[in-house]
Amino acid sequence: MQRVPDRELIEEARQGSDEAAGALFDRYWLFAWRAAYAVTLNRTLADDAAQEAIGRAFGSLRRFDTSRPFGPWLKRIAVNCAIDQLRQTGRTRPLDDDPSLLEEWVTEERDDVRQVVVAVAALSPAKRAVVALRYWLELPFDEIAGVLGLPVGTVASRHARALDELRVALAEDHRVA
Amino acid sequence: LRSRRIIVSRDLEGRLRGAGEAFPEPDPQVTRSARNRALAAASSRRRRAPLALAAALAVGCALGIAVGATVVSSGRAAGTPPGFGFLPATGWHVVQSGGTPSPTQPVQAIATNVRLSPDDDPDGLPYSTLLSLPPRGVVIVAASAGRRDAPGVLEHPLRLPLRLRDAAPVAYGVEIRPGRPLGQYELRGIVNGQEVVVTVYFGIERPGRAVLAATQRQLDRLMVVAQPVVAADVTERALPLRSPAGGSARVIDRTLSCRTTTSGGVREIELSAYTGFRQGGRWLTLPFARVATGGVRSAANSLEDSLAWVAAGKYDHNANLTPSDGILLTNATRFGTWALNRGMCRPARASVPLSARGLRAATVDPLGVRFDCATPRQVLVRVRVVAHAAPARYREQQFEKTKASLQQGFIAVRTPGGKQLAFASVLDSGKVRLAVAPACRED
Repeated sequence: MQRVPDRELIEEARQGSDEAAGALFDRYWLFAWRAAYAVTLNRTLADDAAQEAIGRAFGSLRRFDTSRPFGPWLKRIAVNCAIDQLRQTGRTRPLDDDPSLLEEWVTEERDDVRQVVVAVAALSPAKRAVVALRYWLELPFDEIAGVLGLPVGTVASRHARALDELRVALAEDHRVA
Repeated sequence: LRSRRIIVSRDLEGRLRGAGEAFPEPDPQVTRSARNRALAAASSRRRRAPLALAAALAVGCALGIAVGATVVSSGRAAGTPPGFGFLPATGWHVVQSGGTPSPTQPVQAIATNVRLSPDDDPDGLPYSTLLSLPPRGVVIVAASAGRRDAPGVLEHPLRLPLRLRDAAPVAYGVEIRPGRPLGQYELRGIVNGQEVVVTVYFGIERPGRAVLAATQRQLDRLMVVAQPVVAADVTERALPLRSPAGGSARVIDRTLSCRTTTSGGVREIELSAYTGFRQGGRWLTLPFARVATGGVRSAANSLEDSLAWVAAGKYDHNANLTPSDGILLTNATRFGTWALNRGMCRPARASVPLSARGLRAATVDPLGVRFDCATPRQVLVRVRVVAHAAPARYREQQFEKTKASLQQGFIAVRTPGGKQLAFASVLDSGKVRLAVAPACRED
């Protein structure tokens, strides 16, 4: 069956079609949730951020410029909501002490993944966000700078420092193993 | 060395990208909830289209046409509850959600001296507006949960016009903008028989007198069941705000939506309460109340299945939360006096009254009393504590906790559908109350 273009679904949703809005949701929910999860590394925060993002995006469908792609726009909203969640909870709740992280993402069979995730979770939220946006959401530096509201140079230096820390952490893991 | 570093970086980048391929998937229940939210958001925008009509209504109200019965400043005219909303003061914008107020579906009115962001709905937290609120910006959010004939223990009668100087600073409320914190103050009480919560957000933590006076002028225009606007001394009512470092900085008040688990095939929660036991002026066990689910706990931690607990009273390192059987100790210093299970619960914006109305009172003694109540998949749990000093919070496993000694603690539980299940209160005097729904069974 031919895939209905996003633009048509958005137009129909604007005109009151719940079916079209539902189809648009089904198409992009997982995408938004994973974007939120990549930034927060925490299921609860990702749930909240992704729901907030989807609510905002669908609430703004009327203003959306259909000449632009819907997916990247939603990804930006999801990432921003996830970063807001991190900022709100960061002071009282260090994410890297959350035991659910390992249980939900990495399994015993994927020890290589486990090591990487643990190392990324141990980064500061600022560096972790850059790593998540760069490698898990595949954003270029200039887009990361736009999402985080930082100069591109700051993003690049945080990226470099994060990789240095990860390199050390993963090397140490390797030695222990 | 440089070429080796580049090789290591490529390997590292490959491993990072590889980890991204193993992402988990969202919970089906969260997906369902998000879907409903998306469809509601899409349809809500469609209903808000006739803004011109709404603006005309706002002007009409501002001129005093049928004040009270038609307090509609913007948004949906149809279905607006009579007599709840703001009349706009000069330079202010007002909007309200519409609908019939109830404990599960409060109606909300918002007044701002800045433009409300188009991303914000009148029935939710105006998050986008608050994120960009300038230093002199103010947002007032008033919510009504409908008629309340008998106030709960913490819900005092309030008279119109509400006074800004009576508002309590919210030190542990929604942390909207940690980088540039907002000033956040709350008034909560029964106004003309309606349960009303008014939250005032300022663009800075300590707003100036002119901003406070302007805010008071708008607050004077809050209408609850057709009360006339009373001209009075605005400045007197507006000043001064209490310091966030005092009074309510000692209060933690959270409402959470918590998952319940099954015990013997039945989805249920367990409520327990103990009056505490004193010897020689020292608490051996503290006045304590707890809500738990599932009954699965490890041998070393008898509180592991808790959704929340509260324990009142000044204590020393010998005090326990529950009577000891000689094997399992619940030392207060070790376990904390207030705890929320953040693994099973997430913040909710619903209204949960701190009231025993309609519930059956139980007799509580130092050895404790326990009840099991059948529940749906989720329950709403509100926990409020007042500490002797501003409590420091910390995270331990899935729990958020404090070890501060508490003056008072309250737990209220209801279903998402509005059925009250339980209410417990513990006071540092040793007085403990537990009341549960008639269908709950004593364990």
